[in-house]
Amino acid sequence: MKQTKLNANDVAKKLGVSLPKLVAPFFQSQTFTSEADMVAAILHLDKAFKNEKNVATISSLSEFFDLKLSNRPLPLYGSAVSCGFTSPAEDHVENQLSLDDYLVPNPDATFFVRASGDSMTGAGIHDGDLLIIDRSIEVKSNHIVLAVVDTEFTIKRMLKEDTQIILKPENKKFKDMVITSDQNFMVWGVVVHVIHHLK
Amino acid sequence: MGCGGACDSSFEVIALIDCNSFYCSCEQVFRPDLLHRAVVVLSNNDGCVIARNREAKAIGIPMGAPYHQYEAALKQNNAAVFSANFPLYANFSNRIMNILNSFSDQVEVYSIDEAFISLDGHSTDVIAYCKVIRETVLKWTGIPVSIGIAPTKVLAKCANKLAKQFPESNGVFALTNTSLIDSALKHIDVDDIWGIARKQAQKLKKRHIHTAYEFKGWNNRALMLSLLSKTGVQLHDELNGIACIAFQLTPEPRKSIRSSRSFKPELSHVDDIAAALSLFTTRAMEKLRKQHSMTQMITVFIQSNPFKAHVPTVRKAQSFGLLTATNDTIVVAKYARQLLHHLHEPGIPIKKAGIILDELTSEDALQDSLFETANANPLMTVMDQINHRFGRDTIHVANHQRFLAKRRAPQWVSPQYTTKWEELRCV
Repeated sequence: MKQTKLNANDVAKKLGVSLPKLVAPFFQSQTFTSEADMVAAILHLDKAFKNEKNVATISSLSEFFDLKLSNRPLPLYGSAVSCGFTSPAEDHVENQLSLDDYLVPNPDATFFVRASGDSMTGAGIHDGDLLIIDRSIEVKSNHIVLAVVDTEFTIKRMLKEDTQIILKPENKKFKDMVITSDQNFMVWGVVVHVIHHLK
Repeated sequence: MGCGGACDSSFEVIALIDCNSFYCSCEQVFRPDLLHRAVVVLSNNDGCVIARNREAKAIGIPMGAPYHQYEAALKQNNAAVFSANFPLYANFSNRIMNILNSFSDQVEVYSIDEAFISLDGHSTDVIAYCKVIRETVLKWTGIPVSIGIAPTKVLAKCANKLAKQFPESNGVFALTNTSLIDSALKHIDVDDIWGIARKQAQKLKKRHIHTAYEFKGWNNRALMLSLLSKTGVQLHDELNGIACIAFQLTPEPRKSIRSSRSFKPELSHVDDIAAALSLFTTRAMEKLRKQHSMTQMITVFIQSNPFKAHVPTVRKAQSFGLLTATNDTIVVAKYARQLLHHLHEPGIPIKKAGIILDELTSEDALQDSLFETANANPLMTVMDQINHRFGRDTIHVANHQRFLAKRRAPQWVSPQYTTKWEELRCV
């Protein structure tokens, strides 16, 4: 019987399931006789990892630890494995650029929130956008902040002149908000990035 | 500070960082409307109160109060009521522990919301240093903490209590000189000394020892040993400023299970540590099922050897919170392993690792209720029985199946603001 080596990631993508990183090496080292076998195995594991009812995947604890969860640092290559000389690119597969590094330099102080409304469209913040808030940044005048005014959250550009605080929308349809001394005002965090989907 | 032969603590100045009403504080971070309002968090199945903030304490809600008994009082006082959201709390705990790691290279995570740190060599003004720690944690995470500073862990616990009691301390209280220690201990009941059980406190009171100060000055060591055992004598020494309690010896936090071991030789490869961790997990889960409990909080910790000069010290812990309780080894092993991969740094030999199971609830409580599902797995019971009879590891989990029944979901769980894309806060 002819044995084929299929790419598990591609198969998983076709099935619309994501292959947990942890089990990827397991598939890389396995040889399946047909695509159907691999599909069955992937679906099985996917169910098991989602903790679906009555999935009988794990036949022994040692199998579970030794095989399915083994996390040997074997990256899952984007191309089917072939014989012959190795691609020089494979030395660098793990050296990926990370958006986390770029957008979230301080993860312990960083939170994600979802923008609503259109008061900040001029700053490129649209309804439904993902906002990245870094609480560790020292807030300065002109920062776009997530502020608490009385009991409500709001995203605005904060202008500070002497003791006066103005929350400025970036849309002409909205008016400036001048914070009065009887209001509860707090900067929750500084908005550092906007993630906007382009469809 | 003097240290007798039995002492093995490497600390000279210790701080205990404790989050104020931790679960309630987590619930308030994304809810500015809850500022200054009473907040309570309920246990699994909304049965009883497991956390209260200052405002909730002020309206007379006791710890562990059955919810239905206090429902009216809570409503009347406009209190916010939440079902426990352990994924949220674990996320905040991990952030805070990471921040502490940047302030001290010796952080001992004691529970989800408490850690001891060594302040050796960090600053001459330890109070100022701890104020910076407190400010940083508050600014970065929104969680207020109290910090007690002292030469020993037991005294640090006392100092922490005082930091919470006296608002003028601004959350940081140091017990660093003898006269201050003595006057402070007069205000602490023997019941409230960390590690003294209620029965032991009763024995002390029969001998007219009521306060921590009186216990500190008691010098009948032979009687102490017979009444309170070796641990009691250590607590006494700690009150006298002699550090005796190393991390390995710290009393287990109430209602938690810990399984850990030191490695000889030390382990560097993540797979080796993972193999050991899976063993600890199996042991801890056996213990959990033996006492008919289920867990909702899993913490994994690793430590390098602090006495090796040429390698950096690593003491790290990460937690994972579950929305539903489990007693399933495979489920917990999976999360434990993922936590380990998060913690592990290549090339640093690990001397000790372990797992802590927290937020334990009784299996029975789950099964009593008609509409609940429990994740309680009868297979695990059978497995434990066979292993008990024929020796450990006679069988492993074979043909793992879940037996799920219907369950009434907790009613007031807040969104998983920090761990689910679909549940982010809209602003």
